[in-house]
Amino acid sequence: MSEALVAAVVTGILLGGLYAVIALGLNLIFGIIRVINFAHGSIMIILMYLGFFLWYLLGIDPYVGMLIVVPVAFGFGYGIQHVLIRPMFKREKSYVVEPLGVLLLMAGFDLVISNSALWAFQARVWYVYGSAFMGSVSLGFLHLTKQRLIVVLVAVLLTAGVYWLLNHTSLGNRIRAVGQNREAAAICGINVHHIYALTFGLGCAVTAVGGCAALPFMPITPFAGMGLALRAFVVVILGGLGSVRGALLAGIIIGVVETVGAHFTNSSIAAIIVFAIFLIIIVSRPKGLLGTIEV
Amino acid sequence: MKKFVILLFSVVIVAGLIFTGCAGEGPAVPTKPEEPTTAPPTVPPEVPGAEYPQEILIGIPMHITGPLGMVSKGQIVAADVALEEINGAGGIKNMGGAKLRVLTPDTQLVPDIAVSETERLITQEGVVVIIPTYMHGEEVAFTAQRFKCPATQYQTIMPPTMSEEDWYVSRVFNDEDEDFFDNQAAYTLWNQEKGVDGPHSIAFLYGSNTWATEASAWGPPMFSDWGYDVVLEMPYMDGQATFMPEIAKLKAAKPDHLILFMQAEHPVFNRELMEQQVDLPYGMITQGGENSEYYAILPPEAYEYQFIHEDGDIWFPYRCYGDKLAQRHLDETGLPLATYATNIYQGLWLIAQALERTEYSADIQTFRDNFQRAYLATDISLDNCPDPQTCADGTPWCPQLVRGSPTLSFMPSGHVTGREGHACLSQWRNGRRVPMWPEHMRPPEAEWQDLLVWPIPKWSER
Repeated sequence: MSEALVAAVVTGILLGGLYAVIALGLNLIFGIIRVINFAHGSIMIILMYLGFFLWYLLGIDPYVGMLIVVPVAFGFGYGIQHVLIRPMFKREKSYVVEPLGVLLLMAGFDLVISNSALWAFQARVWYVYGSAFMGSVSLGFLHLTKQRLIVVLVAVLLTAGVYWLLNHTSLGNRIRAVGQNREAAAICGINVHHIYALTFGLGCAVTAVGGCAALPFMPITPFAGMGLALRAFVVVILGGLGSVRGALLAGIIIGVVETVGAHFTNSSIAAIIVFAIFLIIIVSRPKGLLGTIEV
Repeated sequence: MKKFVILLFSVVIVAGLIFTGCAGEGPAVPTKPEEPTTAPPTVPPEVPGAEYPQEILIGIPMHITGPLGMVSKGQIVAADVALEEINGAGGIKNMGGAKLRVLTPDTQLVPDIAVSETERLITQEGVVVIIPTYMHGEEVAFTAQRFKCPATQYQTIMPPTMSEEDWYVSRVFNDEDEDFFDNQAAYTLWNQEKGVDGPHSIAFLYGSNTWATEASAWGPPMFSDWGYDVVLEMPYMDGQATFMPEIAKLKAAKPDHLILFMQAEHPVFNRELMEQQVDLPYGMITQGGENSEYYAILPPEAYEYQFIHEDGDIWFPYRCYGDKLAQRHLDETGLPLATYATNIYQGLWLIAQALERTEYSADIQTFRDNFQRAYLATDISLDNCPDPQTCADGTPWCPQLVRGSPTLSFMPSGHVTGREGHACLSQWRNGRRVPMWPEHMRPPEAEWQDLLVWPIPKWSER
C-alpha cells in the first residue's frame, strides 16, 4: 500500500471521528427517541458560535469553554423538546406513532436558527486560532494533527460513556424503553415527556462536546452545519438506528470512504460515493451495520 | 425483486450524476442580446427647467454579506474616496456639475440575487452604468448586456461575452490566461536573479466556482505547452472544511510548485499544509488569495514565503498615489488595501472621464448609448491623463491608471488593450507582502533582493 493511500486512510479515520461525534448526538435524538431532528446541524453551529464567542470575547479556550457550552446545550435541548416538540406529541392520540409534524417543525426550526445566525453573525467565516494542542504528531511519514486526534479520542470516550449510560443505568433503561414503545413505557410509569426532554438535552450536550472539540480547526458560518448534519444522518442510518457503537464504526467508515475516494478521484466524486453507499445500505440492509431496531 | 429494482434505480441515478459531471462543455453562451422586456425609464430632471440631472447613478451590485463580505466593504470605502474626490472637484462639469452617486445592493453572493438586483438597478433605478464586481462578473455583465446598459467589467468573464456584438460590456482587466504569462515571466526573472532553474513540475488546486474552473481550464494546458510537467490537477468544493485528501495527494505527487485558485478556504488550507509539513521547493502562488483577512488568523509561518498573484495596487504603500485610499481602507476595514478596492476607485474615475465626453440625453437609453461610445473611445496615458495628480515629490500620477498600466484604451470587442502593468506577484515576507515582479513595482528598498526567497526552504529548515 503506498504511503499516500495509508495517509488517506489515516486521514479518513481522523475525519470519521468528527462525523462520529456529530452523529452521536443525533443518534440519541433520532436513533433512540425517533425525533427526526432536521435542525441538528444548525443547533450544533449555534453551540459552536457560543464556544467561539467565549474564546473571541473572553479568551476562553474552546476545550475549557466546553464546561460552559455543554450545560447550556443540555438546557437548550431540554427546552426545545419541552416547549416545541412536546405539544405535537400531546396532540397524538396514540403513543405509538411519532408525529410527522415534528419533521416539519424541526425543518422550520432549522431555518429559523440558521437565518437568525446569519442575521446576527453575518455570513462571515469565523475561525479560532491559537488554541491549545496546535501542531501535529509525526509518525514516520504521517503527520497527525493533534486537534483532530483529540476529536477521535472524544468520539471514543463519548461513545463509551453514552453506551454505558444507555445499558448500565436506570436512566438508560428508561430511555431505551421509551424508544422501543412509548405507550408501554408510559403504562409502566415512566414519564415519557420528561425522558424525551432529557434525551434531547443529552443529545444536544453530546453534540456540544463534539462541536467544541472541532472548533479549534473547523471554520463556522451560519450554514456550515447543513453538510455535516447530512453526513450525520448517513452515519446514523449506516451504523444502525439506536446503535451507539454502530455510529462510531459508521463514522469512521464514511470518513475513510471519503478520503480514499478523494485520493482516487476528487472530493466532489467522493461525496457522491458516500451518498451512494447510503442508498445501497437503505435498500439492502435497513437495520444498518449494528442496528437492532427495524426502520 | 422490488429491492433489486430500487437498487438498480439508485445506481442509475448515481451513475448519471457522475457521467453528467464528467461531461464536456454545455451549449455555447448566446452572444446576441435579447430585447429587454420592460421599457427603460427616462431620467426626469431633478429641478424643473434644468438641463442636466443633479445626480448620475452608477450601480455596483456587491456581495456585502457572505464569506467575501470584507471584499465589498473595502470596495465601498474605495467608492466613497473616489466620489469624494470626483464630486469634490466639481462633479461632471460637462453636465452642469452633476454629482455621481453609487448604488450598492447586496447580492449575498447569490447569482440569482445579483441578476435580479442588476435588473432592478437598470429598469427601476435608472443607472447609467453598472460595475460588475468580483464573483458576479458573468451574470451581471450578461444581464446588463441584455438590458442594453453599459457594464465595465473588472472580473472573470468568458470570452464569448467579449465580442463586438456585446457592445455594452467592456473589460478593464486581463484575461486569466495572461495571469499565467505573468507567472512564467516571474519564474524567468527570479531564476536569472537567483541562479536557479525551477520549477519543473506543477500542481493545480482550484475551487468549484466559475472563476476558478475557467481559469484552471487555461492553466494546465498552457504550462504543459511551455514544457512544465503538470503532475496534479485537483478540484475542490468551495467551502470545504478540510483539505486533508488533497494535501495527501500533493505529498504523493511531490510537485515543485503549486498554483492555487482559492479564496476564503486559505485559512484552512494553509494551516493543514503547515501541519502536514508538505514541502514545495518553489512554493505556491495563490490567484485569488489577495484578501489579507485570510491570513490575519493564521500563524505567520503558515503563509511565509507564499506568493500572491495580485494587481499592481499592492505597490501603493510604496508610492503616494494611494496614500489616502490605503489609509482609509486600513482605518475602516482594518486591512491593507487590496486590488478589489482599487478596481472600484479606478473604475469610477474612468466613468467620470467618459461622462465628461458624453452627450447628455434625458432619454436614459440614449444617454447610456452615448456614454458607452465615449467610454470605448477612452485613450489615456500618463502624458494625457484627464485628471493629472502630483505627489509631494513631484511624481505625476493618474487616477484612471492607478492599477499600474501606463496606458488604457479599448479594442472593438470592449477588451482593454495591452497586457502590461496590471499584475504583480508579491511574496509574504516577515508579515508583509512585498512585490517581487515586475521589477518596476518593487519597493524602493536597497535590500529588497534579500527579501525574495526562491526557492523556498523546507519546513524542517525554517
